[in-house]
Amino acid sequence: MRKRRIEISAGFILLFSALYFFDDSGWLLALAPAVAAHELGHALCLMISGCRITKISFGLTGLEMNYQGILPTRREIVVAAAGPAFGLLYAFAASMLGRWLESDLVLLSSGLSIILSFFNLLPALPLDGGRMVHAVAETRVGYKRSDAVVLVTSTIVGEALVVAGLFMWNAGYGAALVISGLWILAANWKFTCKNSAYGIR
Amino acid sequence: MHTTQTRKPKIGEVRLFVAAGLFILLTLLKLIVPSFGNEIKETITPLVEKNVDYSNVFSELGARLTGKKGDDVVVTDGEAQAEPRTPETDLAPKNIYEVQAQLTRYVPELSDAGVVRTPPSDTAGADDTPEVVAAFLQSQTEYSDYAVPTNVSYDMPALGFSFTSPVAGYTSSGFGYRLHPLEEEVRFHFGTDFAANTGEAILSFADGTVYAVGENDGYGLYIIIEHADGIRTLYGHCSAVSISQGDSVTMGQQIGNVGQTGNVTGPHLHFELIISGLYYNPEFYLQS
Repeated sequence: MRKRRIEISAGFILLFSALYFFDDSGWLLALAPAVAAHELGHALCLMISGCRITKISFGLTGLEMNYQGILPTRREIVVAAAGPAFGLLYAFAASMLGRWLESDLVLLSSGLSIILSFFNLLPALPLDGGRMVHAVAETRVGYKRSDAVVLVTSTIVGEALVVAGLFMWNAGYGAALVISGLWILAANWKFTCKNSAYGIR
Repeated sequence: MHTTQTRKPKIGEVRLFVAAGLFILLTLLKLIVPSFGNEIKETITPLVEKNVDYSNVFSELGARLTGKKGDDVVVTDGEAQAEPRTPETDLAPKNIYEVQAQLTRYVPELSDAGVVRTPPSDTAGADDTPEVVAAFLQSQTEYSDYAVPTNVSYDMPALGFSFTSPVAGYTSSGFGYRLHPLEEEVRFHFGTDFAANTGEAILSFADGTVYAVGENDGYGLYIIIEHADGIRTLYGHCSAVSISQGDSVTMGQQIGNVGQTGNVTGPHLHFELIISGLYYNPEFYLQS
């Protein structure tokens, strides 16, 4: 196997250190295999499709895999779906293992994987759901307009999460949902400001 | 000749160094001065996680993916029976003085453990509503919007045997509808809570046989004793149990110790009186 470049951004290290600092019950340790299974799903599907993974980058807006090779749009959708699918498979395995070992940590990992998989199905970039929307839009309205379409859905999802999160905040729950919504909006921010570069009029 | 070329570090590299440095600093802080971290944690964590125990929720989610967690099966006489209904969080005070502070509603004063009550020999006045029942119904009128659960009865049938209070202690939370102080929500309480310290002896309500000894997430370690006419009593959140299923017990015999196992916030005995599958109010019988 050729050497792949792995890139870790400063922002990611900051985020990781903040999470690690606040981590009490070791849930970062439970999250890691769930994320790994998810990405493995993407990677395997890419490799089966004949592509070569050239770079894996850890950024503030998540994990990104750069690949070399031609990927037909339909296959893109499958690759995007492979992540959550693998994540759910892992969740089942971890659930059974956790029950057998009676380990709360393993069960926690399973639960996190479930949430991660379903959250990724939301139609917003940089989530897998957003990538699927982008791919579908490409086949319908063309390459240029698909960026605009996914931008719109991403913004709607982000704003919906913020609003729902504010309702939950008001009902006495924490800010977790709001933060997730803001994260999505932030990840799409540079696209909203520089939309002219994407040919949106 | 030797030329050393110094190049200006790229901005990306500077950022990486700063971030890595911060990470090392935070890790050192976490290890050397854990109290500093704890203070910050205590301020920020509730903001994000308020009222939702994410670890618990996600672990539960993971467990439920392959079957329900905590489904205990009580096996008697070779046929499996479902475990008793899981109660909602039993709120118990942390100490006996908090009990008195928490008593904002009518809670009857119950007699001490071991005080024996014998049933009346005659059934005169069986038509009259006993005083204790009337008082209880009076206290529940503020919850008249809520229907009485179908597996509950507010009757006070004669038990037909002598019985005693199962533990020495104050009731902290009575049978029936009550306002859950923390959640500010109305919930039905299917038994009576006796505030007591861990280790306090739990006595059998009356003569009978041990129907079941079990453990689940709600009741913790529990005992069910069957008395005459199929009347059963349940003793929940025990720290220890000193009898086994099938044992014969006499009224007042110690069967276990008070604890805080299960879904509770403090040590107490959760006591239920069940007749033919219906929950009755134990306080009707145990008033001093």
